[in-house]
Amino acid sequence: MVNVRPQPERGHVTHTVLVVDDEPAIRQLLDDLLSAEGHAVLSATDGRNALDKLRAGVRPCVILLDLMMPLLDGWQTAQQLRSDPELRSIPFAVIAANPRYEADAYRMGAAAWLGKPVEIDALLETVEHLCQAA
Amino acid sequence: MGIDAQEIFRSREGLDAVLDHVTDGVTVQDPAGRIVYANRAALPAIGFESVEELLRAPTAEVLRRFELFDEAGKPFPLDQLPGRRALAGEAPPPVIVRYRPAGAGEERYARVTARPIRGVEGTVEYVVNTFHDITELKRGEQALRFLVGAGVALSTSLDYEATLRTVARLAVPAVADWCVIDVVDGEGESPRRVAVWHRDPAKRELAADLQARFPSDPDANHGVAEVIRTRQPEVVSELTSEQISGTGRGPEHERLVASLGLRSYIIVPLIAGDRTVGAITLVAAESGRRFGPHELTIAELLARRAALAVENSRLYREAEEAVKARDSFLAMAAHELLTPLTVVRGYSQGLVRLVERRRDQPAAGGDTITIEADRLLRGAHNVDASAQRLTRLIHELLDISRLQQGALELDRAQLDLRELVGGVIDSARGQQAEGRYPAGIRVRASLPDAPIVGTWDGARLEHVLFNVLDNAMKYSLPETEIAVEVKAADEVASISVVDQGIGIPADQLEAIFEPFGRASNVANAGFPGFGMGLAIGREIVQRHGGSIVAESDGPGRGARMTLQLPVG
Repeated sequence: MVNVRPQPERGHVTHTVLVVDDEPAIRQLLDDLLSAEGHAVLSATDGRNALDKLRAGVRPCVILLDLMMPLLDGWQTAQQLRSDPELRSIPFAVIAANPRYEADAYRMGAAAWLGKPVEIDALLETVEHLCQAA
Repeated sequence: MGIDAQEIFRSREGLDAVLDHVTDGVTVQDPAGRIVYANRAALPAIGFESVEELLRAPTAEVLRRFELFDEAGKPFPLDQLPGRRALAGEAPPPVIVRYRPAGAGEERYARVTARPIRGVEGTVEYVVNTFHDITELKRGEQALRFLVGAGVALSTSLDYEATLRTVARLAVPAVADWCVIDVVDGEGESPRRVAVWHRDPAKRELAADLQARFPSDPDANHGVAEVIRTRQPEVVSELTSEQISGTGRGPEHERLVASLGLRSYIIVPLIAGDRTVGAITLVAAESGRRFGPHELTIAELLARRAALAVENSRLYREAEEAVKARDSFLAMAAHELLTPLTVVRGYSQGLVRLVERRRDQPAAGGDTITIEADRLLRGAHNVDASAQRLTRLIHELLDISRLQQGALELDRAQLDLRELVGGVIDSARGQQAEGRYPAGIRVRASLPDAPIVGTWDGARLEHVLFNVLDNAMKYSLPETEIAVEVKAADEVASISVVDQGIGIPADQLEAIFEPFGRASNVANAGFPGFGMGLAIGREIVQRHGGSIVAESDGPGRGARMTLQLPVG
């Protein structure tokens, strides 16, 4: 359940998270929730935008990836991440509505699956877990 | 009676006269196998013009005149002919043979029997052969067998193209030498050839060559296109060389047609209800058949079954597509609904977490905690915006369901279109402020000074216009302009929304108004949406007595949506 050990709310950056979602409301939500935990949140509006940022040198310890996006969707983005030797080691978690895609997401190399609506505990634990492992 | 029967049989001439009026062929062979008597009916079967000629010919010559097969089409061993066996003293059972004059000519069937005539010492002195023509019977039997086989083939698969190819193969040689099947995919479309069959692959190639070089004239007053147009069959019992050269397509065409040896044909339309779904062409060539009313009946029986199969498969495909569309709609709807729900749940859980943690901190003052106003406001605002979005989506879903039940009622009131459009532009700008659209889109509105008043369903029209403008903004290219113009003339108000976005492919300008329809360049790009907005929109506008159309110069070249409504 919830990890209640004291955590700094802001000011102290624990992890850097890249949120990739075309929905501004979701980007804003994840930014608000994660920064409340002291994480630094970067966001991208679609897969292409995310890859541009990563190739420009941004290095998050985890990527939160939406599946249905314009320009470059989650599947295509995952594929490009996996085939890029520089980016291959960054774990990504898929956030999506349709549970039918869960198995496919793991097959594409996802480190975690977060079904919508996302449980905040699951979200924070996933980020914590993947970033600590990194 | 002036003629004495006894007298007739006493003379050879009399006997000949009787036997020449028997419809079965009768021949008599001597012990050496030579034919010593033949009646007139026996002549065509053996390929001779006169009895005298036949009787003069040596046995080897007689046998060279025709080709003999068993029922399955294998060469018939001559020593198994009943005549030969009867000569050898046996009492052979009748056999069924297929024969045709050597070289070419019509293939026919006969039931052959032979009986020995013994002398006083019991030795065989003559053999009497009878040939009973059973060609019509055999063809009827083959046709029946073919129809049963075709019926089975047509009812076992929903892949109608493969099935029609099977039917074409079954038709040859059972009822024709060639079988060609054309189908019409949609109302007003040209026939499409799905099967051409002949037993000889070289002939099939020749036919394909002919079709490629001399495509059928869709406006001709005969042929497949005409049969499909008129829904009347075409029967040509005897195709003359004048008819072939009469098409005026030149000597090369005539040469090709002649090399196919076409002699007779039938074209029947495939009719399912009030739709003509294609045509079946049966052609007689080297078998020498001539098609007539009997073959037309067979062709029509076949056509009825084939048409049903084509129609069933079309209905099945449509049902399948509807199920697929519904599934992808449900997946899309779930995605669309879960997104705002995620925002609502996310903020409420975040708030609970924040409150609990601050309350538990040693410095916290019991039940009183402090949360930064901007943080709280932003969360509350986002929850509210998501709830609004959920409401809009749910109303859209309800409209979809009302539309499908035909139960959409308009709630009319008098209003000014300028105000309505102004409100829609404001909502879109609000969405824009939240970053929902590509960057730098400018909306330029051109509204008239005078009010444009009508009795309309304000909430629904607002929804339709918002959808149109929202689409234009979503699919715009960054840093471009959207022009919204409202005007009225001749009792008609029109609203046009012109964007410089990704455009709409020409073949999909109508499809985007179909339920679940979205332009292919949109679906591929992963843009979210129910795909129902424009379908509902058109229905709502039409209920108002108006219209909505899309225009575009193609992908990448922007789009113009024009909505017209009667005023007053």
